[in-house]
Amino acid sequence: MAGFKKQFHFTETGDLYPFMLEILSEIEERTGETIFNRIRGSSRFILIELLTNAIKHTNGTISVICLEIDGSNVTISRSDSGQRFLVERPDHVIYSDDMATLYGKPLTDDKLVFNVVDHDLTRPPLVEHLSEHYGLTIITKASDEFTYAYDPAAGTNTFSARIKLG
Amino acid sequence: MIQVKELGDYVVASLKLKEANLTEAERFKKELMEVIDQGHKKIIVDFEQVMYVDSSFLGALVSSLKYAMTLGSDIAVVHLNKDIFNLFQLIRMDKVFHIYKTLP
Repeated sequence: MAGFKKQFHFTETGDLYPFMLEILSEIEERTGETIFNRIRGSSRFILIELLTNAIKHTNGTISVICLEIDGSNVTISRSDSGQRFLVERPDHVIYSDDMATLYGKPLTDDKLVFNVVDHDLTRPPLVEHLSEHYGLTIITKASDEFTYAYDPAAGTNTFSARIKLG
Repeated sequence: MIQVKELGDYVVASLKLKEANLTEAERFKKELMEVIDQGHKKIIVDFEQVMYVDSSFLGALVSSLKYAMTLGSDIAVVHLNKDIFNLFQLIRMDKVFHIYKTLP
């Protein structure tokens, strides 16, 4: 499969669903029906959450969605010039409840990788302790690797989710 | 957004929207809390018309469940399409909400 790269521009006032379908259609065309059927659900979850996150956090700036496909991976990235994403806790925990803990572990000063650890459920989870924030968890679980990078020179944030094709 | 009907011991809150997302989450929570405040103990949220759910809407559903449980009520869900069911499984919401395939 030849390498493919395309950018899409999304604003917070944009209509999320048709925008997502446009990108999914591009993925289907480039990967073929068999592979697409396997990754359609994950791609859909990632796109919905990257776009929802853009609406929530970019204060009206345009987000650039970058789709890259090669023989091994589909990578969906979202870049914007909104506020920098920071993980403040020294143990790198972003959210934690009875069911799972979401970590943002630093790779460099300006890049981190997300990781979700599911907890053993020996009893039903305590509902009153449940997180109400699932966006980053969904993307992390739907992808094979989910990273965040900050470019201090350009002041841009890039969230990047990679799905293996093999 | 929600159409409510009683069904035996249950109250079914049918979502009258296709996109259960950030734009709709706060209104959904407010309307569902009004149903909870009416004293219903078994509430089923019907997703039959919903094409997709985002994390904000799921957060609103969890927040409503927390509120319901303080009043001795419970919330279940029904008619999840395949993608929404898979999403519930992905983040283990199937351990939190009883998922009906069809109305009981």
